[in-house]
Amino acid sequence: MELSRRNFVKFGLGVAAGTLLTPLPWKLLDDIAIWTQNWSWVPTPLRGKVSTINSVCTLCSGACGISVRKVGDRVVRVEGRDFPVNHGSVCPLGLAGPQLLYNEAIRWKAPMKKVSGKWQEVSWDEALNMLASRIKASPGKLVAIDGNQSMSTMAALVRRFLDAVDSRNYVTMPREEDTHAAVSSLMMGSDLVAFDLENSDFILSFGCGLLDGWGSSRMLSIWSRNNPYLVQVEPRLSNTASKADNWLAAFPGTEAALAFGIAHVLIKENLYDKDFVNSTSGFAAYANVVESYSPQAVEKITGVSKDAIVDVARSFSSAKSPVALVGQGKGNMLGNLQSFMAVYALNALVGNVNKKGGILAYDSDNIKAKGLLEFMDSDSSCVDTLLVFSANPVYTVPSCEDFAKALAKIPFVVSFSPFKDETSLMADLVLPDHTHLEKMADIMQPAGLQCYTLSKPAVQPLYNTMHSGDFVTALAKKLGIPFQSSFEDALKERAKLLSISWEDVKESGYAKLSGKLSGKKFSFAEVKHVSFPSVNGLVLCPVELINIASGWIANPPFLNKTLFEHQLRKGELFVELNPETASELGLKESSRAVLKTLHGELKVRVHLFDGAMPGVVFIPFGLGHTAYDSYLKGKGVNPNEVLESWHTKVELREVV
Amino acid sequence: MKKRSDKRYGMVINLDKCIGCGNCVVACASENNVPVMHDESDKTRSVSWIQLYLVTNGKKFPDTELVYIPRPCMQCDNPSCVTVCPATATRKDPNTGTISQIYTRCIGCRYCMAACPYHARSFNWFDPSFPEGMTRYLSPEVSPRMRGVVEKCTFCHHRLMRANAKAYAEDRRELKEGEYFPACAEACPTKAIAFGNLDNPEHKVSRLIKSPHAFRLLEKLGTEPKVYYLSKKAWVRRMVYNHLKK
Repeated sequence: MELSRRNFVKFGLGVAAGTLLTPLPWKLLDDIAIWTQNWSWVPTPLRGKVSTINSVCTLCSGACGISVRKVGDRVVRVEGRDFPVNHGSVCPLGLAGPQLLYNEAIRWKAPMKKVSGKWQEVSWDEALNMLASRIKASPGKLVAIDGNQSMSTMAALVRRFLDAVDSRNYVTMPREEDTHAAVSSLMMGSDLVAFDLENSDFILSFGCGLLDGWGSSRMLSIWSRNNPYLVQVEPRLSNTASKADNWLAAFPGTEAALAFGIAHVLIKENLYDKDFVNSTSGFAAYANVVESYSPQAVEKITGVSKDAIVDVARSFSSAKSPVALVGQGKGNMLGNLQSFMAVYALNALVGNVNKKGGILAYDSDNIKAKGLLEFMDSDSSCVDTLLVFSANPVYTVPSCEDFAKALAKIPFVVSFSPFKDETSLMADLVLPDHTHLEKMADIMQPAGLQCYTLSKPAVQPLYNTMHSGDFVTALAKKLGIPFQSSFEDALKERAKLLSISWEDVKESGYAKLSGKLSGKKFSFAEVKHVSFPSVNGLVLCPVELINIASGWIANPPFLNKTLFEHQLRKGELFVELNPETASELGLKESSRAVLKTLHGELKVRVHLFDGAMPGVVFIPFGLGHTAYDSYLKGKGVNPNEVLESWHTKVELREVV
Repeated sequence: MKKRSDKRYGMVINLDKCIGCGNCVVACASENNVPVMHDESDKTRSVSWIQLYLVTNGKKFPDTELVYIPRPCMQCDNPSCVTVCPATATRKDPNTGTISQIYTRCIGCRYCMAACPYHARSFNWFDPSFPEGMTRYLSPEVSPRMRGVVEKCTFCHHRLMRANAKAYAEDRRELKEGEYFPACAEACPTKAIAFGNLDNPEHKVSRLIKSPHAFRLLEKLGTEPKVYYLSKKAWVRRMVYNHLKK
């Protein structure tokens, strides 16, 4: 056949039609689709037998019950479980637990020592010998910083070890608990105090972020189950303030004045519990102090309207079991003694002391612990060896750069952190502990809930790590000190002392304690006049958010998913500012600014938020790590670099 | 498409109880093998099946109020994403009413993302990334997605299959209330998320959606979402119907 133009076209069309009739193009398309998606680096999760382990989350002192879902020998999920503490609620940090366990880049995989600036793996025996000889040489110069929950067996072991080697330098991380202990010793004659929030129908909270992580998930569960009337005193519309039945925006640092104002109304209107007050001491002097805090005067100091003060006072006194509690954020920082006392006094005025739904003081053995700040003030030349347990002070302590400088002067720093955090990177020897899902640890809440909780390992330790409790016992043995033979032994001993069945608590993770309420007289005597600085200029207030881990445990990457674009964007942290204040400063939404205090400067961006009090700059805690991996490092800034306390004078100016 | 499925699994989120803690987001990501990026603040690239929105009443301090709105896939009865998919990669299950997404069929055209008025769908711009060693927590119940496909909330469909298998083993053909619920509902610490069959009068959700405080997002579009919200705050409900009156 002749190859004419016509035939050529015919042939072409024939081929096209013929191909379309065959499955070839469809098959090719399908193959291409499969090929484009057949990436060998898409992970294939391994199958295995599914099991569940009931444990307790020990990432903070909340002690929430968790159930750990496993596939084969891998942890896949952490969920809340029905537990007397948290009733199924857990926080986002607890849920993201598997990321802390499996993130290889942030974990220490073996004991390491620093040799001329480089990390070198050592054996556990070698590390033990090294530390033992160091301690033997100068036991008096041994210091331990302990971030473990104050009543835990681990904390008790560390304290005991220091006693045994004759070092008196046991230091705890600063926390709200210490202020409560001090105030309740002064006013209630016992340093073991709790608020019976489970049984209260009216909660007057001075600054506690009850729905922002204060009191862990236990508080979330109380709020959702009991629905108590909630009054929140806070300068910012936090999650707690937004869900409160009544939000009182008092100027930062004036909580005591507001408490005095409420007390003034209670006394003036005869709304206080006279029977109870008659059983206390120092009331006359207290009434005298409060006398000068009329609602009008308090309105001037706090910015809360006088009608609101009167209303709150009236509804507080008419509630069945009202409780006033005081704190800040998640409760990770020391509080102000005077404002704590002013709030404690409110509880006494309504007579809700050592009663259901009120403030409870328990009998306790006085546990003394030196504060971290005392240690920082002291001359660091008297320190030779520093042990750091479950803490990251270089990151979490206010004016943390000063702390880092002090730390650098110490000849030998030992970190027991499982993570490559800021403090352990500055250490000379790292003896990695197991993470919370790999070990047994206990948390005791002798007041309030009165429970003893015990976690159990969900998986075998992944790396060459060692339980710090076991290391401390081994170290004691090496030094020839009579001591418990292992951490588990110490736990067993503890259970015996508390008259708890070891087998039961090991299985269920929970045991009820039976504490006795202390019968001491309530004393108003220590409540004194407070001077409130007049507000001029900007104030910097840190904010703790429930979806950012702001303690010594870093924010797992999952939590970064929950942040808004107006909180963190491309590594830049946003501070919150009232639109009016911003326009006075010439700042707009997303403006870049420099934040300057006496301690230093931070670069931030500005988010305009109507819920922020005018004249206050709010900055979130928990970001701005300089350690860890690229999922955590270099995201935002750490407010601790410029903060001195819960409110700091600050300047803010735009950068162009 | 049959308008009504046999069962209509749906969700009721009480905004007055939502404290914006992000538990739903974290539980969802953990349950469904959602990858994490180095920079999660890049919201146009990051993958989240459920996302939080924050709205305020626009009033000045101290009269400001705020509410968080968690937004999973709305699992619409009349889904706009399904009709636009050229690859039949997404479909409404005639039994449960949930909208599926079949990753191996998805050709990555993102028509569905454009069609979804709720921004409930995410595109995998990159290979799934997990920090070093973190592939060890991946669950075998949910397949990790590859680059170039769209993914979205499935109401934790694998949890339904798990519950069904258990019921079948116990010789039951019907699930009881509370046997099947997604990870977000399970993780909500204030129990703001209720879940169940909207058509079953015995399920709590069927009562909740009749509340005068119940509403859905963008109802005017006729997508018939199966995720309802509750709020006693009038300004929240007004905000949702802001097209009616300015």
